[in-house]
Amino acid sequence: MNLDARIRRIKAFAVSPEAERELRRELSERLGELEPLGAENVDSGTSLRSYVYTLPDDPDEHLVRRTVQDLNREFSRPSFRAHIYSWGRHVDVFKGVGYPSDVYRAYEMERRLKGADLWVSHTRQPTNSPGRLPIWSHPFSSGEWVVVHNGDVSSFGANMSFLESAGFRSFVGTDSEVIAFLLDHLTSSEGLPVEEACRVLVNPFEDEGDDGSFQGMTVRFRGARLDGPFTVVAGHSDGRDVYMAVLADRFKFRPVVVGEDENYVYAASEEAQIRAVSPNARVWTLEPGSFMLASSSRGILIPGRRRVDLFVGPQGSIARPEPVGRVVDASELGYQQINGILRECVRKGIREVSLLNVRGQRYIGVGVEGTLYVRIYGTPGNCLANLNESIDFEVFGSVQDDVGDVMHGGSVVVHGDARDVLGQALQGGTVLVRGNAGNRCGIQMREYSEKRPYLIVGGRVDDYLGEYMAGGVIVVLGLGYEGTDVPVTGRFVGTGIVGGRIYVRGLVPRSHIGYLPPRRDVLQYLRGLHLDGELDSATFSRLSSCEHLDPETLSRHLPPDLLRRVMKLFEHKYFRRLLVEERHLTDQELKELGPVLRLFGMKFSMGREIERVLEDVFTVIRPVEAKPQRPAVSEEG
Amino acid sequence: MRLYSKSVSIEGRALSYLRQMAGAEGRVPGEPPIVSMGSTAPPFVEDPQSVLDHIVSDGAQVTRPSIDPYREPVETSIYLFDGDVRLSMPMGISSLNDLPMELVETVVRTCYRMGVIADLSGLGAEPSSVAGREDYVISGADGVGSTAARNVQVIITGRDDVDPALVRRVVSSGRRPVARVPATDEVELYTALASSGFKAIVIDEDLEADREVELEVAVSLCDKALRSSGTGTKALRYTVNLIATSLRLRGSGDVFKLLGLGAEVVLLKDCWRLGIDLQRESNPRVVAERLEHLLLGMQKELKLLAGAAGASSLHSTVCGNRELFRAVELDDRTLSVLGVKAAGSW
Repeated sequence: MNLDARIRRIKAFAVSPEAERELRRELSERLGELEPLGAENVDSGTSLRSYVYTLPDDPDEHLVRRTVQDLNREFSRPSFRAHIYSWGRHVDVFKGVGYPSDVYRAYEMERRLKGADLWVSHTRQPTNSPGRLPIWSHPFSSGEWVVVHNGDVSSFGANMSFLESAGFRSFVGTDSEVIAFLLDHLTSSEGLPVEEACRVLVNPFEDEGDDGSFQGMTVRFRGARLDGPFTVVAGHSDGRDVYMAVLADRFKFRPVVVGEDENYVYAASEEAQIRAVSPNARVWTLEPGSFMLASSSRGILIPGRRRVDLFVGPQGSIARPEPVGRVVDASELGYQQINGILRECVRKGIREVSLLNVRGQRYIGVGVEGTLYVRIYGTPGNCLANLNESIDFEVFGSVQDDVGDVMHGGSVVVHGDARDVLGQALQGGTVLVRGNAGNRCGIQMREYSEKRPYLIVGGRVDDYLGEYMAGGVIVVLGLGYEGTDVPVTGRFVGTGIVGGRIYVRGLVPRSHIGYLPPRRDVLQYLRGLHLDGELDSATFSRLSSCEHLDPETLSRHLPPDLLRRVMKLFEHKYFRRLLVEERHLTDQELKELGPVLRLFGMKFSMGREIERVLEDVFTVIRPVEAKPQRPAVSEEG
Repeated sequence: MRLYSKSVSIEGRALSYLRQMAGAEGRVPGEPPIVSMGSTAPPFVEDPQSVLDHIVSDGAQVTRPSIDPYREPVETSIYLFDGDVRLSMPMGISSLNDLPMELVETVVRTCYRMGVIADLSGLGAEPSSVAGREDYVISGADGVGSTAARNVQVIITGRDDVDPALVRRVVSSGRRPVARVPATDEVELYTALASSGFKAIVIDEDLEADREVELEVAVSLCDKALRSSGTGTKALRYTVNLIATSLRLRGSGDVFKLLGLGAEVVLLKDCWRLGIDLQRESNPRVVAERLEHLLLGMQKELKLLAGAAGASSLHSTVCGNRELFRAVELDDRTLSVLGVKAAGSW
């Protein structure tokens, strides 16, 4: 994206010189004089060539949009002959099939790298398309928007219907293109500001915010709301500024991190990618169902998370002690080589290894057995310490997604943040994270025989903490969030939990615990009871002013027969009431959790703070019919 | 032209499921009786009884995971009339005209608590319980006559019946005109209704017309016709709500498919009466309880169906999303009228 570019460029693929000539003729008939700039790429692995034209007459934007739609439809049937894939002033799109390096060469990108306000790129097989032609390649563009997308949108058909009624007539058939069309349509034809268009697309849950102010928008623009997995990075220019928008779906089914340094704003799937460009950037992840919006002149406008300042707090101050044991420069090593070195160390009886310059290598430690202490400097890739049984990892940086999956023993100590799905099916050993953890942290944790896992997060976590949990212990300390109005957990804490315990320091809003029916459904039922004459006005008005309509609040206000009736809305055959207590830790709990929390204090030089934390009030969440607890096993680090 | 007969009897397994959900049979009221990937459902094993039976949900797969609606949100709420009225689920209760008034009152009250519509169509006298629940009732008497309901029904069988003056009278009385029309392929009727100011169109397969088609075909035609008049959010489709009903609808599977073809609400007729076993049970307290359970059970089924398709919102993701469906053994003409692709196509 380039703000200074002022001339409209039309870029198209054509299957043959004849098809190109025909397209050029049609274009100039409808839009006026065209200036061909020739073919752009010579070989992107297919027989298609890309052609570029400029439009000196500068026709009306809506006429161009309609012409592009009409011609793309005409030239796609009966068989595909040509396709216009970009037609903005500020947008310049390069699409190809092959490895990124192939596409880079085909377009001779070196000589184009003279500068831009925003670069967006993506490599993947586009969803639900054969992908063999570059018409299906990312990025997708419409007007002054460009979009890349990781995911598979389930609202695709509903979005298509909406776009069809908005006059879009030609689709290459992948959902990513639809996202570009939606953003273009909402901002250019429906007149929405960029931030409102983004908010419509990310599709916040009905109960979210609950002030009703946005409800009308979501109903009116329901055809533009996205559902199913997506991370979208979009670029846009309104001619005055260049915008970068990053969208995360409501379940956060796809990874995304954003970052910032003095000069740039970044977005990527993995933190290691940002760190490769800017080692000291401030990096954070988006909350589910939110978006980041930045502009090149004004910087970050909407961070996609409440209190980013607190979230990125510890990043700058991560101490990096001297390497110990065998020192390995991992910058040029693949994960198999790294794991080979770790195995060799175990064989040779080397007890300590330091991996330097780790840059996103996945699966570190997977399949390595034996006793070993591994220091990691840099950002290890996804799936660190999966299936780990006895290795102790200490990471002086952040970790990415899926750390400690099905880990049975050993430990992972992280001085930065952890991203999504930390400690999935964790069933032994200890995971300590100094900073924050992302979505679906500690899901399906369990314990067996003498194994009981401990997962301690120093900062805060996003949604679905401990979902389906069956055993083990999660502690969220909320360090740094004291005295703020930011809850230290996201929503749906402990849904589907059948065993184990979750300790969150401080108070957790009741609406964040478990999965409750929509507040509006419950209120409707109560209002009905009131109209029926079964519920007195005073109780009804008291309840309708309650922020959370959870079972406990209801049971405080309703007589048993009415409570039984309302609870129909909550109960189902998998429903379990959660036991939620707000209290100090018991002596037995202090005996069990004290050692692991003190280890946390020691590792992160927070000994004194941890002693104070042990005296604080915790919200303790567990299933009412939990399995009988075994006597505490104290695990010394 | 119809492919299947209008009359389908709700019996056997379909009936038993409804009764179990209502609590008229079995031990777990309010619960879908089965959850399973495989089935003996039509059209693969049992004989199809309707066009709906040829439509199958494409389901989620690896890159688009299914959603477990017991632990994660699948939103079933529907906003009608420009967002003025919120339903907890996309359903309503119809066929009340031959019930004793005491039971009609019970149904109106229960519908309100559950956040669904009570359709008083065909009812001579209006129950007193409409007062206070006006938004959740469609009036019984035809036309502007005396009704407390906010949603005033006008029965229209052809384009000649559309009377803009009547529509204006209803609107100026502070109420919403709702057209009740037969299932027809006369799409000009649908656009005429929407452009003359009706706020909702109820396509009732049990009304008779010259050019009758299957309810599912009519719903899809209506949805498509309204989408292609006007642009974007100014399309007629976004000014009017589409409601479908028929005696032959059997349960949430049919509801889900009609939503995907464009309906926003489905009014249940025989299936709720059979489900709660009205023939043998007339105690208002029991009827109310069974109706609540039946609706909650069907709501869970709708969530399971949406979740299986990777959809977490019925209103924005499922309504009018034919891409969620594929059709088995349907002729090309019907496929194109429905706008549903044949199984196996991408």
